[in-house]
Amino acid sequence: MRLKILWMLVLVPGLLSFAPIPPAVGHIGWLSLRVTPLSINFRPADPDLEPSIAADNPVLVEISVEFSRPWRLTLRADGELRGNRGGVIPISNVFWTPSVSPPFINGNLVSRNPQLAASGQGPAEVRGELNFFLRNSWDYQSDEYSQTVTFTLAVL
Amino acid sequence: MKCKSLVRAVFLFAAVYLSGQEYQEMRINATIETRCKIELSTNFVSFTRSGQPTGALIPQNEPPVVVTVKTTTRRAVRIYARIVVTGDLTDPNSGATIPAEAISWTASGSGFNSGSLSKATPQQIGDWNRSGIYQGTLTFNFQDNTSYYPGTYILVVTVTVSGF
Repeated sequence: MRLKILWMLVLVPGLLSFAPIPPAVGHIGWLSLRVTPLSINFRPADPDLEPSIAADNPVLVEISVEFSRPWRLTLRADGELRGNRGGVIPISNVFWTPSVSPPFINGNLVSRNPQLAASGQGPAEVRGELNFFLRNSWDYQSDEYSQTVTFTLAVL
Repeated sequence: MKCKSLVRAVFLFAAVYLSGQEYQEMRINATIETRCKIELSTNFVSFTRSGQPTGALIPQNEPPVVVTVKTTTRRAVRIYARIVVTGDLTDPNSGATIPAEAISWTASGSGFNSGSLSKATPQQIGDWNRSGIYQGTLTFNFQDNTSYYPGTYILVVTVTVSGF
């Protein structure tokens, strides 16, 4: 029996670590993060008339933390905004303002570097919108740009 | 019994450990259109003949015209700013004319060119090959000639900017 228990100790964490995390709505145990929509768009605009372009939709973030520990939400861009024809816009030109503060805070994206968007002490049920903006510029090359941003909710 | 408790504890540990982080991916899309605009500091320049010798170059009475070209463009696309003229300088009272070609300009600023007006072809005042804001000045001059009748002559020119 002791031997079986020992095997369980070794195997169970190893097997579970490969458990898939649902891409749209993650909910394992005591932590939940929902982000909608999963895509936002910045339409073209005259930089003189619109120095900052608002995204077509605010991003609704719903957080549920059932731990009684500190938690934080970070946003990480996988890289710069990249265009189909080779254009590049530094992702740091994308910033957000929250509808609820705290726990959400202002911030801007940084390539491959998680940026704090919200934090608190669990347990918590939080719902708020992040309004994303793109700093407009005459220096941008005309192109169709895109990039992926990962929202990560972590209990510390 | 002891074994079941231990297994439960292991599962609990694994669940707590794994559920300490959640993530979601969001896509950001942005469209930047090809766009250009031109701004002039003034829409009026004038020249005054004051007894200069024949063929004298008379500078405009006003300060140089500041030209600002703003453009977002694709790679390998050139942006051209041009002056388009459709007629000659004309005195509306007498009907006398002076060829548009009598007016020239000197340019300063990155990408700006000096030149002369032409009824035959739009004349280039500058060209650029990438997005940005370009500012320069144009100082217009009038090539006088004693054969021109005294009068007040008027000419309307159009400044355009476009990408090719």
